[in-house]
Amino acid sequence: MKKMQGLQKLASGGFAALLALGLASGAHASDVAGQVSLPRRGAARDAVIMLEGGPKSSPLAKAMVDQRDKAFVPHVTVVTQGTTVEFPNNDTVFHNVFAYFNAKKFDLGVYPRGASKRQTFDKPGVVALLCNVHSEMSAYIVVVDTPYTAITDSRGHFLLRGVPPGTYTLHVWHESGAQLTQSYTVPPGASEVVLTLARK
Amino acid sequence: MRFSLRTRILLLIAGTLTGLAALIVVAITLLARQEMNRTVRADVRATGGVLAQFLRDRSDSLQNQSRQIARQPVLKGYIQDTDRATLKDLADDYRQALRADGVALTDRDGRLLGETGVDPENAAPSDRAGEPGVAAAMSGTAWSGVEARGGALTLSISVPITIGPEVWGTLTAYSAINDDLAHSLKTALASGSDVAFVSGGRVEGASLPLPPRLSAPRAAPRLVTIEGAQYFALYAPLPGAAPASGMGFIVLRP
Repeated sequence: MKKMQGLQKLASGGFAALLALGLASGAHASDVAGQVSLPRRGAARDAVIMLEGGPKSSPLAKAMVDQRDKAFVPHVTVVTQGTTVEFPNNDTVFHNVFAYFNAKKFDLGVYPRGASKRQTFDKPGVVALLCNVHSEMSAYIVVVDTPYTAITDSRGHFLLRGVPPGTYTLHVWHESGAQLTQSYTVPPGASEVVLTLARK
Repeated sequence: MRFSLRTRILLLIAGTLTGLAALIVVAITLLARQEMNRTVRADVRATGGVLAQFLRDRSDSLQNQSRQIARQPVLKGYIQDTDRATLKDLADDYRQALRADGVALTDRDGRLLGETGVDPENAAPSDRAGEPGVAAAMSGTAWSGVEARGGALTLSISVPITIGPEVWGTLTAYSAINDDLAHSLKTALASGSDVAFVSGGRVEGASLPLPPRLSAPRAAPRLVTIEGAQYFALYAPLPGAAPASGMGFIVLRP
């Protein structure tokens, strides 16, 4: 399900941007596969991998964080700067979406099932979503200004597709607070990388 | 000099009686001291038991209420925002709700974000990660214990503030172990003994007026004179405090 949503996101915005950029530069795009782990915890699920230093991204045409079964779905979403995210309430109860974190502060108010609200994210950073009705609900939106991003699966695996060879700054964010920033050179052809995050 | 037989007999009787009287006095003194030792030790045991119950009840109550507060979405939201003036106001509100003497909020790395009594405009950055409660809460575990905080003895509790499965901050609440608790303890015990709380020999709270410093032995009660009155005094570590910490209580038996 999560994989499908990730693919949908790529297909909707990121892929078009990647294709256009790849064709424009004439570079042969590479795939970067990898695995992310956390110290003492093993595979890092829902870690966000970003390669920065390349072309800027365009806003995604569509992005959504659903509310059902008293949970935000998916738990972590990556959107490009300027993207408007839809927050439908597909649950059986009222919900609220608010965030005070650095990239965006907003409060969509409490709204009933069947209703939907939207919010545009115009600044890169991390937005922690909360519901003031249900304290157990939480999710994250990571706003990026690069088209080269991926989210790890439950085994910590990720795949960055169509990255032009070159040197980038690789950032990895995880909700635990563990992170990583390093320089990374994407070689021509496929490559693999193993990353271990650390607390600051 | 020679004594008559009669005189010798009388002297023998007198000596024997004197010896017996002395023995009886010594025996009575020893028994009285033993009884006082026993009574003061019993007082210490009873005081320790009631105090442990007091602290356990207060700790449970503080921890349960603090857990509820830590679940509030508004706190989860503001703990990330790190607006110090707002977080200080939140800490003040929580202190009132908890009927505690202080509340401190930190981020997930143990950096102080807001604390009652600390001016957010002029507060220097404060790293609380070394405090046992904050360290435990940072690792996702609730903690309670007795500790010296800002020169005062406190019962402290710390709980993690989590978003999903991850810790994003900590909440610490503390109640002073002071004169009020000593008076409550004395009333509850109804033994007539007074109680003093000490940290490193310094008096932090007592059910009677005391000098700033007071020491008492751990092994056996000792007679001490305070403001002209005599008490048998015996020390014991506070329940939940390490014996070497110097945090304890003294029972003063008039």
